[in-house]
Amino acid sequence: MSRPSGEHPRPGPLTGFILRRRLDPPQWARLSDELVEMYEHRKATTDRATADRWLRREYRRLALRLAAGARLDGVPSPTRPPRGDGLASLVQDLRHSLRGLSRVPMFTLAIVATVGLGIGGTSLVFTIVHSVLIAPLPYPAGDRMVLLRTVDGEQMWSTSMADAYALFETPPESFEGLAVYSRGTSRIAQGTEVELLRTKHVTPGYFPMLGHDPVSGRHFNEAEGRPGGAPAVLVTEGFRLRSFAASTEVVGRSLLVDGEPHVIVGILPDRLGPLDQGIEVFPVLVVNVPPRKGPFFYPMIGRLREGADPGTARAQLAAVSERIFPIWQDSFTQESAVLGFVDLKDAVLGNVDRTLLMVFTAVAFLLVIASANASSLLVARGITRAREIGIRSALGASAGRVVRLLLAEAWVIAAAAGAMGLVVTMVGLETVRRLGTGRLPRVDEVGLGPEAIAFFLLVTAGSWLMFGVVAGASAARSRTRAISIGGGRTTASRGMLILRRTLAGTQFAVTIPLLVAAGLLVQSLRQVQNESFGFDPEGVVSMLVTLPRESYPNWPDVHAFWTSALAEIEALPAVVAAGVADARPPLPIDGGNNFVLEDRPVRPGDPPLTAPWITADAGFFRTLGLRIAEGRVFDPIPSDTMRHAVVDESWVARFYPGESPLGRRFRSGGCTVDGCPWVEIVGVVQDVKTSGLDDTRKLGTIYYDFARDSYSAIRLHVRARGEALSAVPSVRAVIRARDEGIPVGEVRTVEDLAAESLAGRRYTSTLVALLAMTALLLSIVGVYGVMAYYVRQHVRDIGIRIALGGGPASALQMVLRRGMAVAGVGTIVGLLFTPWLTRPLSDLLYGVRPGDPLVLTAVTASTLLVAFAATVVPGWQAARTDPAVTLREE
Amino acid sequence: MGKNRLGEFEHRLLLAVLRLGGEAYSVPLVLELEERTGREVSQSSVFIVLQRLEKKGLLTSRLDEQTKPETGRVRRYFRLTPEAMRQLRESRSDLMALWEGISTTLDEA
Repeated sequence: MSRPSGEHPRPGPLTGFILRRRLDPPQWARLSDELVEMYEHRKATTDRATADRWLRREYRRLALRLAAGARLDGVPSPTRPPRGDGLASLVQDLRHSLRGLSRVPMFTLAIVATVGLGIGGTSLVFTIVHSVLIAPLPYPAGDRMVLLRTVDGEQMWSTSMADAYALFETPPESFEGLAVYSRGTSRIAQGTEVELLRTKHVTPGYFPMLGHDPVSGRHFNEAEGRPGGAPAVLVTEGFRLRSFAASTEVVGRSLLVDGEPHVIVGILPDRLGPLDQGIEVFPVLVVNVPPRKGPFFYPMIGRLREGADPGTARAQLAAVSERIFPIWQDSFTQESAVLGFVDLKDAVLGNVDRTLLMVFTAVAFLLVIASANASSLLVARGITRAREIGIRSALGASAGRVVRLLLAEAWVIAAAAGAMGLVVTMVGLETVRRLGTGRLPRVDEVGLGPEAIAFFLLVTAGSWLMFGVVAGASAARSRTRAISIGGGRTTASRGMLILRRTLAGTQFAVTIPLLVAAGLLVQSLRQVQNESFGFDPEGVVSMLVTLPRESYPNWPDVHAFWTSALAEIEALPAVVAAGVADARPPLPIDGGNNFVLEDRPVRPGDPPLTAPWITADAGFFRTLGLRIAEGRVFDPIPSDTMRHAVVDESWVARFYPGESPLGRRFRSGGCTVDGCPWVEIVGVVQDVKTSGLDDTRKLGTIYYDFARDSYSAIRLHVRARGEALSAVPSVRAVIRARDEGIPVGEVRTVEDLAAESLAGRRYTSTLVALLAMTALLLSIVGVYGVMAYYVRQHVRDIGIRIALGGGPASALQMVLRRGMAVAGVGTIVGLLFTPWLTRPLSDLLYGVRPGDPLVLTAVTASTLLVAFAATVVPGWQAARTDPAVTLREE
Repeated sequence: MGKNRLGEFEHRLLLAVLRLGGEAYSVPLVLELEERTGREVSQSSVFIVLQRLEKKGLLTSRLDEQTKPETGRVRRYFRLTPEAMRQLRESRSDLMALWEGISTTLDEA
């Protein structure tokens, strides 16, 4: 270990720092030259060790004298900086901090990464929560906009054409405006181009109310919204660019909507509000005198007058429903249902607020953990800096000066963490915008607004102050004690170690509920994924086939097309079976229909019976391979005038438990007495999940005969021999051979549909699981840091323990016991809080309860296991402590 | 007691410079002081006191870059000023006056 001759000891970090700071370089070079010359002389006359000690002592003495204010060649005194150079000394402080931090790169990296993630995560989620949940809708007076609903106690559904008609005739005084729309899919043809597009029929007042003005052309006029008006359509700029040559004047041209010519009266901007995301074609909606009260799929929006009382507005709407109820009484028996409204924003958001708030809570937890971790690191740093601070203050640096130094270092850390946080936020926002389309309402509006920027700055400034305070507190405790410049461990470490242990334990206490939440959500996802569809999904593919109304105007035309086409498709070698239906299990179907049982009439005033309702043909049951429990399915060609229906086993259990439903009759709701014919139940099939894989209500499904109720757009289902998509080209060919103008789209295998139906659930569980894993990682880093620090601080005790014959095992044991105590206490506290924090989750859970013992056990066990692994490493270091070396160092 | 009164270490240092021919740098000064007093002398104190004496006008200094051209080392040589010589003489006569007649008493005690 001998140094080559000519080598000599260098000043220690703190001494060197003071010397370099107080002496200019040529001066320092000269003084150190003279010191070294003396050193060499001493080495020659005594021995190297004595000379080494002497030189080190000289360095320290010189540094002390200089730090105390002694002057050499006009170097300014450290305790009395010249007045008026506040900025210069600030810059100096910052530079000093940068240099100090660059000497501990791992510490700096750890703290910046931890806090950067925390700041980024919270800013990101705040930005999303603010843009989606808090910001008013991007419409003029968006906070006064409402969505009208038919309300019956807890139940709520949309408004009907009858409501619209009545309200348009005599608008209630509390409303400034009302508009009706209806969403659907239409065939849009322009020239030879035919597209199947999502469309929205809207009344003339719709876009003026939302404040979306055409970029060219005009809004619909009143005449176009009345019966007999000329069919008109508004399209977006994007649609215009896609469908027409760039230079073409489009306003005034004709567009075929479901075969009917519509005049394009105006071009809308591409950026429409959340109600109209993803829609490009808006035909005019004509409000007619409706033949019946239902169906309830004409949503209405309205804007309350400024200062209008919501209670009065509700009363006015209720008065309207009371007035119109007798007119359609036969078609709608639910007298308790009245017209009401909900805030449009709530309607747009749906139940996303719960998920978002859950994620926000999780991220806030993460920030707590990150802060605890960062504080813990800072406490450790405070202790190592205590010596420097101690010297500074002992030499007369004022408290303010010391605080300024600590704040400067905190500022450097906070600024770096803030910069990283900003990057995390921006990248996160980009990802959310890309992945969130279709999953997150108002995703178009998500962006860094002034509020989000203010929040970001607040969090960053808050973390700056927190660092400053923590570092200041831990340094202040050491300040009066640690003056010795020569080394030796500081006595302030015990209190700080307890503080750090508490912080590490807190991290576990916060991580546990997060892990449990993630475990419950993932377990739910697995349960739903394992849920049987009610049929064998292998090889089944569905596609949307739309028959142009102009070529197939009536249902016999549609029926004739499908009878022959399906026969030909089923004859294909690649196809096992084929059929049609207006639903795609396991995707939940849009809703049910109400009906009246012939032998069990509902008492007047009671709510009507409802059940999911699917229109299907016999081939559909064959394609899904459904077992027929009783009776039969539909005849390919209806033989008599009686309408037939098939129900499933849940329906029987619900309405005719223990009895045979065969031959019983019901009538579709929403018809006048003579309007809807009786329908006879001819068969019972096994249950299929028609309301979503995670629906446990067993509502029972009615299958209505396609041959009696044909739709122009229907889902063709095919079971292929082998791979599901292998049959698609030949099926397409059959349809194209019959009619070139029939679009075939939305080709999906049942597996795709299942994944699609679980996308939201998967999105949420993945997100929460990711956050929980990050939290666990941070906690592990936390406990590791505390224990590694503990071992460093107690190297002498450990050495003595080993020297006294305890052996390495006892050292390992000691560290493990302490580390696991931290993790264990944190875990127990976390478990105590868990039920309270996971209860709000229960709505999102499936097949697992919030207190699921399996999840709790797995989370606890795996947490303690990784904590154990994190403690073993410092424990191992402790066990390898050589008592001789540690004692000699003392 | 004027403000030009020499401190003890200042006094010794000035004498050491004188002993070394009126001009010296830190290393020979330390060695001289240690040899004469038999106690270890801090070189940093020497640096600082030399600086102070220069400020008081008792020493002047020059940088000698020729000292060891092969190493490029630079030494700062300090030289006594006439004022230093005057103060040394003054303090010597002061002390001599005080010592007169008591040296034998002290030795016998």
